[in-house]
Amino acid sequence: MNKQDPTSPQSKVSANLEKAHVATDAAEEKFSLLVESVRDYAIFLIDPQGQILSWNSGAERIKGYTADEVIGKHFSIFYSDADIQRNHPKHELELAIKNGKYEEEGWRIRKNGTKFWANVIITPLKDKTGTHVGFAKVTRDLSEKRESEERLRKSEERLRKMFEGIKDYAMIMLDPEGLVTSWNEGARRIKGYEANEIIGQSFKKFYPPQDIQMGKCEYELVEAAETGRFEDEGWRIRKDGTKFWASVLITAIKDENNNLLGYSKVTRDITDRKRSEDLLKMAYTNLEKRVEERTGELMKINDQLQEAVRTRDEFLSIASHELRTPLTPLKLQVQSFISNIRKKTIKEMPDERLQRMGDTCDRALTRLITLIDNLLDVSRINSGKLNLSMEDVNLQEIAEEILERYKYDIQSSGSLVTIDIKQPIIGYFDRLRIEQVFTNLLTNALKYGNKKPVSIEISKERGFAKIIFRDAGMGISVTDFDRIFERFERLTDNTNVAGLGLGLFITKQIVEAHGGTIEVSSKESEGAVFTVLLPLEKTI
Amino acid sequence: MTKSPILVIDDDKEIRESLSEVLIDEGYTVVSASNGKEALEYLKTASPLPCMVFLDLMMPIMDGRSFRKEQLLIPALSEIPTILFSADGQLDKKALDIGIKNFVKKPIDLDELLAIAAKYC
Repeated sequence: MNKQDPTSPQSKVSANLEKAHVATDAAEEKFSLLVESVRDYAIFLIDPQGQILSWNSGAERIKGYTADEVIGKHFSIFYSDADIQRNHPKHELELAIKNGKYEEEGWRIRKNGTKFWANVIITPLKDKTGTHVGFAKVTRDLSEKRESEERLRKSEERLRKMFEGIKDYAMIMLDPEGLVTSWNEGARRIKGYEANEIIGQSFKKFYPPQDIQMGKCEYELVEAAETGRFEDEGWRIRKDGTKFWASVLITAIKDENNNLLGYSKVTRDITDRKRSEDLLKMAYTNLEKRVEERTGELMKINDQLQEAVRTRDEFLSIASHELRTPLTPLKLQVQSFISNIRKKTIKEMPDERLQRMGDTCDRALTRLITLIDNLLDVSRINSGKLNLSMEDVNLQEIAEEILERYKYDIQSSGSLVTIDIKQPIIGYFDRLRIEQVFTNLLTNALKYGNKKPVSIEISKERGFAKIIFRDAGMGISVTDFDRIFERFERLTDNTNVAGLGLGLFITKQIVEAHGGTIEVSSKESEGAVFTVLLPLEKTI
Repeated sequence: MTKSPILVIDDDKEIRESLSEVLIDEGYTVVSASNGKEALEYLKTASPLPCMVFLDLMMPIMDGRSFRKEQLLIPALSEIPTILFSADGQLDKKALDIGIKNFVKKPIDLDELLAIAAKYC
């Protein structure tokens, strides 16, 4: 306690207080000492009117006044002019009496005129009789605390403004249940909602219905809460119902005790990127597919080429065989002739022997020429140059001429060949080519005829000349009907029958060039029937 | 005793006839067959057996390969010198396949033909 002037009003109060505390004991004395020594709090008493009655070291430190300077003064000296003008000090005391206590934070003035931020508690004091005797006032200097709070607030404000102002990222806060608690410009731009439309709503609104049904939203929050974060890319829905492809990062926010406070959610609209990626992927897939298709085509072409090469090689080998066969008698006969001339024995040779020599050579040459002609024909057919020179042709004449020309072959085949024609049939054909048809079908019948009779039937039928070659030989199986008319085809299951395999192919090409058809019917080992139909009118 | 003939087995009539003619000109006896089956039938009763055989490969009814198989089954026939005589492109390989060492590709030179005949008959 400070020294007091016993005549002053303060001393009166003090006297009253002293009376009130008549029973003050040693403990109270100690308490007073304690109060006086407290340095961090200004603790002092004021009378009911506001005059300062006591002063402790904390008060001196905080406000700058010594006890001598301040005791007896009104406590409003600590207030700003503005506070005094609005009668704030008096008001505080009234409120303290009314409510039993008054507390506030506010600016106060030190002795040197500087301000400090104060926490003030004013407690009314009553004596044992309940008479109001004054107030205890405890003041703390919170300037430092306030400054740091202010700094924090400003920093938060800056962050908040930055966060709100970000346009390219939707940055939102969710409470632990997933309700939106904050919203920024980016969120507005990307998702289309205004802050007041969405705050308080569930973040599920941004997800497609199937994601919501699958429980994806809950899963994301659980995952973020458990592992700290959840990252995802996927379709999200704007306010207007349109979709966008989002890159999403959800981070759990926890306090120091690991209690979940909520989530921050950062969303970017990467639809454009996704679209270009998809286009690229699609282009790649298409490319792969086309490469695959093309590879397949090329492999097929390769197979065809290999088959063509194989067929050609086989053909060349057959052609070589066929050309060498007539060369054998030709060479022997010619060399025998030369040898006899050299040995001067030629004159001793019988005429028949010389005749046979010449005939053999002639036939060998004919066979060779026919083979070469066939090869040339195939080449012409292949290049589409099978030109026909048309004239009136009597089919009976042709048949008889061919039989005459091939009488030696007929004879050596052992087959008897007959012509059956009821009336003269004259058509507009290429004579040489029709002769070739007859030749090919005849030699074919002789070759496969097995020494049995061959008949050639020529008749007229509905504007067509019908030419039938009928043999009683080995026959052809149904499966080979089409094949025998193909190039280089022979009945390959019987490689022991010689021939180029071109005769029937050429025959068919000639017949078709005349607008006609050729067909075969047969039963195996019962012979074959080739039927040629040639239009008699000038169709070409 | 009659002279051993040369056996010509070929389906081509012109070849059979030409071969026979030029060999007969040189004083040989020639027997010809148009396929393996005909030849085997001849050989069953032939006496004397041929001094050698000219064998074609590609023939109807019985080809050279089948004839050769049958020939090798009969010891007396298997000893007859046999020359494979064909226009086949792979004659060397095919001759080896059927156990024939000597082969001639068609067409044959008259001199070569006569040299072969002289060697065996």
